[in-house]
Amino acid sequence: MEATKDREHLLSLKVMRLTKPSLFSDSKVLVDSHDLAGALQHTLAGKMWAAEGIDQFPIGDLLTLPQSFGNIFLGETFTSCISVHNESEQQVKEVTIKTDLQTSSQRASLPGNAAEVTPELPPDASIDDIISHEVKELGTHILVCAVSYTTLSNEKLYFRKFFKFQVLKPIEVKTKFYNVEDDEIYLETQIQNITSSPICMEKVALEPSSAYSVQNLNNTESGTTCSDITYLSPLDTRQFLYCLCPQTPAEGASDSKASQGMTVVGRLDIIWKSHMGERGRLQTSSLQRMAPGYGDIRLEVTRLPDVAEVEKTVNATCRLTNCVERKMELSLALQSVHQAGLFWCGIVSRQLGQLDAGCSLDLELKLLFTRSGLQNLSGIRVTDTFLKRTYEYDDVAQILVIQSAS
Amino acid sequence: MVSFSFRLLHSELPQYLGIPQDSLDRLYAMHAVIKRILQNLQDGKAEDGNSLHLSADSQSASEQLWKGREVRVLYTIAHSLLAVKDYNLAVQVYKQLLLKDEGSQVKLWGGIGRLYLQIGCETEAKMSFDQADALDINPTPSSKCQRTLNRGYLKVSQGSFQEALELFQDASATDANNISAVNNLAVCLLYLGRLKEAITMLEGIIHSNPAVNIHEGAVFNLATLYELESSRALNKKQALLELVSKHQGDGFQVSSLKMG
Repeated sequence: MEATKDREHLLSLKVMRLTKPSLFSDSKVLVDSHDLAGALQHTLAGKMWAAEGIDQFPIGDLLTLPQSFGNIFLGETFTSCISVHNESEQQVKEVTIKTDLQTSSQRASLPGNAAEVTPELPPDASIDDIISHEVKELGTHILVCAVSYTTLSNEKLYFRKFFKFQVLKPIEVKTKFYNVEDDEIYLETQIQNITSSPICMEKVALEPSSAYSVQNLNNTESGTTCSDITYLSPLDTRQFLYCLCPQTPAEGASDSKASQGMTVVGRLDIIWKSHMGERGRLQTSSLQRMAPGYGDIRLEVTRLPDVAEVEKTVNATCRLTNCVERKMELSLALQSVHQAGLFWCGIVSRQLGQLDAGCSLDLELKLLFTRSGLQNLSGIRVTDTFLKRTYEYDDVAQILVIQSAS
Repeated sequence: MVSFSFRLLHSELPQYLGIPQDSLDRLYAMHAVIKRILQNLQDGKAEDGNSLHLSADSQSASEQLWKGREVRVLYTIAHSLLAVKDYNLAVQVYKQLLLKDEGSQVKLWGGIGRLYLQIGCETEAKMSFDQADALDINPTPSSKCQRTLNRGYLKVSQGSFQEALELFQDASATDANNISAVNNLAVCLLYLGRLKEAITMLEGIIHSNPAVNIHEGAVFNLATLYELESSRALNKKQALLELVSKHQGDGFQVSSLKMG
């Protein structure tokens, strides 16, 4: 970022953005030593070609300064060197430098490390300072540098320079909630790199709200679930999985009440590093989840084996919960699904009796499957005889049915 | 009959012309041929698969030659993989080279670490530098200097420029011939806000021994610092250009002076 020299002023202001330096890469051609004529081998060795393979290593050894402003992304730290140089032949007094970063919504003052007022600045001397600021907003930012000074003839002069830059979005975060029967929630988050260079995810953590405890499911015994791939290339996406368990509520309120409506689950804290350790950090806004509505009567499958054999009976336990304020009188009807090969065993139609508001009752059921594969539990029909309303429950749970080992 | 070096050059050229995928195809084809030759030699046959009996001497000499060539091809393959930005595969090839070019293990681990730093994987970079340190059993001043430089790069990546400065000072004290250490010192000085000292340091090293120390990277950094310092940058760059023309040949990239 260069400022054009202002002819009228004795001082000049230059600003240079300091992204991390890069490691110099020069391309050397690999040669066999007996391919080069004698004297030639020694004069330019190491400069244009390398005799040993390792000397040809493309990522060399010299730190090079950034050559352009580059891109700046939300969550990164904007660091810059400001240099005020006395171009004139005369001494200048009481030099003050003030830097501000202005966005569409706010103005932040960026203090540097140098003293507030420099009493004297001799000819050809300069004041150099480093300013840094963590960028927290997207869009246009304007860096305003104001310099005021007094000449030898006690004339107070002042000038300002403006530098405009855009802050871009570095990652795209998508979240999806999965609800499981026993009140656990699985959160899948997909993070996509939309910068133009690779980044390394240093930390992705879900900070839960007080209502939940979180379990990070992204680590196995031998490392992360993405084993060898440590970085994200541009436009790559990586998924993370978390399991949230609701904490037991402090008051004696009914469980079903607590899980209704919108609950705040927590927020994601993401830290990444790009080229030579350029760090970025983002926190998502609070993630909210709408509890699934259960309707008037909630059916949960509390016990079901994972695997069953074809044509062997399976025992299942279901719990019916009355989720409304009135008393219900229930009757149960079980319908076999012939196409899917699901057949209910035992008494398939019976009265269940009365169920008070907020109470639950357990049902022991027997069924068998005639087809193998991943089968769904379906065909449960519960009728409220007071209102003459039937509630249908299909595909409430899955079970793997295998051929019997014979 | 085409010589091996010529074949290698032919395979390497496409990546400099912007078609690195062609380079990779040709290089892997060469690699496959070399592996077949080595297999034939190990089975006691001649290089091209004939059941010609070779004396033990000529067989071992031939194996040496072809193993050396395999190493050269692998280095070129890794370079091409970096050109297509497939960093994982490049690291895997370098790890293969750790076993095949045992003499360069310390430098290889250092290089792998720098590769990881370039893409932002600090933990893996640190592990690689630790490996390099562990394997350097008989350190020479230049290898010790190199490893200190690597630690310095790690500090730069973490943003601790003061500590990096001290490490680079150590490095340049260990090996006075290493201009990278002095250049890196100057870069750290800039990041700490000490622009004038940075310029003095770089000018010092370039003027003290121009025949040897004029390196494109150092000249580029000095030109950038001149631009930041004042508006009389053009004059200073012209003086630098004169110095370069006196001591360097045609191969020097003059664009590193940024004279437009």
